[in-house]
Amino acid sequence: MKRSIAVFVLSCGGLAAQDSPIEHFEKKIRPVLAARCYACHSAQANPVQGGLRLDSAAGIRQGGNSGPLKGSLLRALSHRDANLKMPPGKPLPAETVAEFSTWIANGAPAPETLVSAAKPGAKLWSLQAPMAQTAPAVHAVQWAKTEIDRFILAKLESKGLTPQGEAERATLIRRVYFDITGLPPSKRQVDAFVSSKAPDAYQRLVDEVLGSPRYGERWGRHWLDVARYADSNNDAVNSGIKYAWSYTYRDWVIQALNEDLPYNRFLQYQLAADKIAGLPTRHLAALGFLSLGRDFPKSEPETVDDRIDATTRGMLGFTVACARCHDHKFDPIPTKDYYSLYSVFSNIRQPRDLPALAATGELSEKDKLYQQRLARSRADFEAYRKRRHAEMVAFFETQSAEYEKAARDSQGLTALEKEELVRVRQLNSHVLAGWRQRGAKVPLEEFELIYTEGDSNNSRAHLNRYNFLLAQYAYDGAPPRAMAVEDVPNPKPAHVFLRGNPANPGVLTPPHFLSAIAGAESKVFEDGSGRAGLAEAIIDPKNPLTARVIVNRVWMHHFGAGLVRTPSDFGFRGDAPTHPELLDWLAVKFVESGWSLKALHRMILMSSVYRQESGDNEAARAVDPENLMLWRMNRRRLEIESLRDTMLAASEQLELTVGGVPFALSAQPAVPRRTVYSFIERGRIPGTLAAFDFASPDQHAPMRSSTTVPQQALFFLNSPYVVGQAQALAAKARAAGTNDVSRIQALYGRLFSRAATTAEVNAGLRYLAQTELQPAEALAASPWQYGIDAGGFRHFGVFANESWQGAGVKAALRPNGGEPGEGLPVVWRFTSPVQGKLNIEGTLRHGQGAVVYGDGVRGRIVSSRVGELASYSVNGSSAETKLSGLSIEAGETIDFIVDCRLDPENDGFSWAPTVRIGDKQWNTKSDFAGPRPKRLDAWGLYAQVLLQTNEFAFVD
Amino acid sequence: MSIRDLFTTRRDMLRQCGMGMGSVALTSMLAPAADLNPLRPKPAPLPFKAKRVIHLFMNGGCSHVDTWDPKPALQKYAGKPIPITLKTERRTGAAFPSQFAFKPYGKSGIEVSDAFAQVGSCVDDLCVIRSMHTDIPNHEPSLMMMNCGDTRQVRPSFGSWLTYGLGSENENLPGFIVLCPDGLPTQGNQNWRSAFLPGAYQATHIDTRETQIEKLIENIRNHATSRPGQRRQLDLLNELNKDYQERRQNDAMLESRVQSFELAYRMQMEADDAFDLTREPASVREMYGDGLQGRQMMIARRLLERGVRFVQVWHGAGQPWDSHDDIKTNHGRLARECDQPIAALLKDLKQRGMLEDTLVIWGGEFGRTPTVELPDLGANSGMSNGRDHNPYGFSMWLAGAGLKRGYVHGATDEFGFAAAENKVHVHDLHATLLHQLGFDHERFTYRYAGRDFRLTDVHGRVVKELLA
Repeated sequence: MKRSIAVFVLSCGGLAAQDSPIEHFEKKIRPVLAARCYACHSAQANPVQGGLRLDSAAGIRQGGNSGPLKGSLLRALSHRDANLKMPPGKPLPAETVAEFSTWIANGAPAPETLVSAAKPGAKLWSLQAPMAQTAPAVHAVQWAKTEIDRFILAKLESKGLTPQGEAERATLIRRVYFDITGLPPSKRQVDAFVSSKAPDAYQRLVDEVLGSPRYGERWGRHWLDVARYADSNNDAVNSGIKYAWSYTYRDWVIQALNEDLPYNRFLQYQLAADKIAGLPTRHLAALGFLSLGRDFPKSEPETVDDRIDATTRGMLGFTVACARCHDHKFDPIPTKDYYSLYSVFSNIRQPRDLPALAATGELSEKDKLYQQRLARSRADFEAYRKRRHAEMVAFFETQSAEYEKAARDSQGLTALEKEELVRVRQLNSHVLAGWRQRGAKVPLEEFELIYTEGDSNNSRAHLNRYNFLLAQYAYDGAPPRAMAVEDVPNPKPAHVFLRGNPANPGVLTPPHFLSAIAGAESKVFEDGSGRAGLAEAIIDPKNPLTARVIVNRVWMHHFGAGLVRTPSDFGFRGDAPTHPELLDWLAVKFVESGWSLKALHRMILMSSVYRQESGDNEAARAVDPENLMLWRMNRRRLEIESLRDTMLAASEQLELTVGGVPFALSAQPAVPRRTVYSFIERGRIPGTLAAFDFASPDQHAPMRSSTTVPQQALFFLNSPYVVGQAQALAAKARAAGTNDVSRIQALYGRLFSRAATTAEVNAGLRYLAQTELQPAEALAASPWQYGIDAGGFRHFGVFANESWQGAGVKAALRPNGGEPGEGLPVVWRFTSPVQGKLNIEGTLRHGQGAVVYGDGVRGRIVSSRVGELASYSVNGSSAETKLSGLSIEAGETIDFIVDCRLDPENDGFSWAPTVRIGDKQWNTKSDFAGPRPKRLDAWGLYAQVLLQTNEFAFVD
Repeated sequence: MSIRDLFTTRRDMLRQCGMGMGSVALTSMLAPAADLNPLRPKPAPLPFKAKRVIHLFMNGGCSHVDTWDPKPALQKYAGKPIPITLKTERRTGAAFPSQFAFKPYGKSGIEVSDAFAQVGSCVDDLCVIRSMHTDIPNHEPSLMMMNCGDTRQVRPSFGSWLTYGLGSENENLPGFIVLCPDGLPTQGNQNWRSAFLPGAYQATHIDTRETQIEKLIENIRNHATSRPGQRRQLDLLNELNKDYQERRQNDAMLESRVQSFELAYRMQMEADDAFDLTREPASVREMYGDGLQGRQMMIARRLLERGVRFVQVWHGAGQPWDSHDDIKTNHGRLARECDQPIAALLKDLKQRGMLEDTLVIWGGEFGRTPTVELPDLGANSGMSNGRDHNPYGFSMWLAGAGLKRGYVHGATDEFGFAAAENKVHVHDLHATLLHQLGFDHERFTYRYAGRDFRLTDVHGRVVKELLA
């Protein structure tokens, strides 16, 4: 063994000869120390093991409890001494041990500044300031209309490649429209552009689309992916309460883009709008960026981590969250940088009353009612706290003897020992800590420190009730408010959590910017949480990342791939830019233009690169199969938002209302609004969106993945949405033409903004001739109808999220129960298909959870022939709804009615009655169904096929 | 069926299904298009024993000292404090003896309580781990740990990792399916999320209480026309697409989308078949019993048989096994519901030769305390006859796929409070399961946000002692 080490030393010594001893240390030793040793042998270890620190030159010189490194290190690494095996677990590979031999033989050199974790960050391209670039010279000067083109072309020419020519005008206008607005041009717009003789026709087209309010709706959605936007904190299973005002953030983003708010302000307002004097109130909505992420009620570190991650990856393209438990493994982000940002984002909270975004005039009756309920909800919670606080204090008083003894026994114990004592004796540590001063009399403000797990659950239930009410109010049309944040009154800087463990505090980390950018001595942000300072640092024109990251994102959305293909990771592990000079040129121009996104779009759209054909070029493909050099335009598949919106546009149903309360995507009949305004439930993305690679709002999403799965095809084949759109389109086509050929042409015009070819017309005619409407299969008619009692039975208008609902009414029926609205009882109406002996069974239940409020619900069973058969009131209880020995006539209706009694709050109930007549039976739950599916006639089926085509789904 | 066979079969199927005029010209481009399908079958990188996984999730936390881990000492200490205190979610008191009687089963003589008498009769096929442990005594983080390998942060689930690594052997069905009756378990979809992996690897949740196919899989049923009518639609679609494609050569995305329509078309039939339990012979239905659990185990087996990679079966919505009160009644009822169906599943898999390469996992997110839970306002119903959560020690069992049979691994302390011998952390379990599936857990990574992520993060060791 000894000999083999010697051999290694020799052979490695040869290698080391090329590197200086310090370089050898940096390359071969330090990474191993960081990965395998620092957990126990560095400043981050608590306590340092064996008295040995390997993160400073002094520590290395000094050695540890086992003596100098020279004698002990190799013995430990060899794992031959049973008492000294290092690192624990698997020994290091022989070749690594050999590197350590070399290092020891060299005299164990280490740079004096070792501890500062100064990584070779200076060499990372993205941390160098973008340089003003001159576009290179090119041969095909005709093609290269703009400076952007010369950067692209120079690279292509250097590989002997030629780009594609300009796409046909019909293709071009379609590309520009989808790209900028997410919607197709009308056939008239296409025809006008194609036939225009104006030399600046294209420029005018670009200006026109960039001026459209549809631009903000499409590009706003791109930013919402970055900002992990959702309308609820979690899915409903986990008491996923809707955010009352989330939509005000979404609407702010859309409006900001439409107004071309300079990007530096766009970022600044999202981090610190409340800190900017004189800023119009409406910009407070921008702070939703900080408040709309995943909120972990039981774990602040996760909530803060989400904010750090969204900010640093989203705005800076840097993976700072990797430095949470240890210094970043690859990029120059020490752990203390992470915790300095932690200091910023942990010292904020939501204000008790969110700022109003619109002037609130006279309160309506409805407003007053909601205000009352909200106030009552707060008062209930306060009363609960007071009562339970008194009970807990009384309880601790009964334990006086134990606390008295524990207070004596715990004198002189370490924190850890005290914790152990408290646990073993099952005492409350907060009570014990204050026992000498005040005995059991813990003040009310500290209730949360002494309460039981049950109290914690109840408190959350109270809070959920309040937020639920607030959301209901918002969705019922309350004036909009900003989901703002404010600094806590006394911000406290965070400590490093050693190895990510909050119970293991390290050095204090006051708020400051990333040392890799601001330098090791970066100044501390003084004002409150430090958000204002952080925002300033991010938008500082000298910041090498911010501008590059956004121009790359914009490029990515225009071309399908960024110049840097890891758009949220500009670190060592990310991809280097394919065109670094172009990226810099764009970043510099962008800042010079006053951070104008629209100016940036215009520059890109005017380029020849963007206007290229998307056709194949075999030679180019052989050299560059991924099209990294952009020898053609990338063909793109429409995102789900565009697919869905385009169907509505084609059938002229699209409603272009801007902003407001989200709608349910699954609603039948479909809500004809743009998809960007649909409700996004975090943790339970609607199936349609999920199947089409919608960005998960659980975390910041750098880009969407692009998969092709059969669920997408099933949506086109069978979803009520597509079938409904096909039917609407067919109706328009039928009305449009006088004969089948002109009807087919009308459909092509609407869907593809072009005329159908003769072959296409013939294929259509053939199909229509072969296809007859299949006679509707005799679907067994359901005996159930779903509605409300509004002075008589009225059908629910809408089916969404697996429940029947009335538009604008909170009343709903689900498979297993429902909720009555205020003054609007919900009704299952059963119309008997037969006559016979009638039996009814079921259990009506109301109220779960610890917090009981409201007065429950009343269920009634009413026959159209006999009148009321039974009535049951339940409040946090259940009732067997059992009737027997009755008779029923065919055609007679039995209504199962549930009302909210006097108090319209907390009225969710479960009830799934079964009706038995003779040997037949029906059950509300197992029979529960949405609207009856539509069948399509030949034109509908034909229109559906056109919606399914690749031409509909792709843009050249 | 090997992957190669499967591919040939698929190709043949495409031809036979009458793709219409489009298909002939398109077959030459099948291979690149197939690459775009995230669920295409992929070979495991290392030799493997298991091709598919079924995870029976006793959510809420099954008490090990009442099922798989006999502790006579609890009887001795009944009503008295035990010399071990560990921090649990709630306050617990004295030793609380097992509420069920244990006896040895099978040739191996492994002791099982009468709560699981029928599974006990299969104990010679089981590999019982009595020394499991996890990190936190709350449901949410422990569910996340068991499913995603991390208590807090957003990480992909085990099933997502597996479908990412292996794809699905049946492209007509989702590769990762979660069965749970009556709604969702605690933590809902997060239990089977794909996190930063592409969305295609997220599980499809199926409410096994439902019997109508369209409530099982979204958009699976065509109502707009008849099946031949839909075929005619697809033929026209292929004709129009072919024309479009001829003008746009060599684009795998276009072809891939064409194929996805054909797959979806066939999926409608396949799904009908997979979920139609009336196609099972009466003897099999009888073996599983006619309860809800029998129904879901039977569906699970049919899915596994059809090449679904990962099936997770939850006992019920919420956290049914969470018996803070009345553990005798509640655990008794829950075990009665699933004992026969689980035993039937094991026998059925074995009879079909599927146990050889199917990995069966049974367990909850943690165990329960050997001490009785004390009454607490708002947390339980004020009785002293249940048990609190216990992350320090609990039991799970595995079966099939190259694991030891009739074997007990590890032990808890005298009272069953904490794992004491040959401890197995959830990370170790994950590492071992991946090993059986042909993956080195340290090398099975996905690059995201600048880091190579693993299911086991920086932890986990393969528990070689479990392997046959």
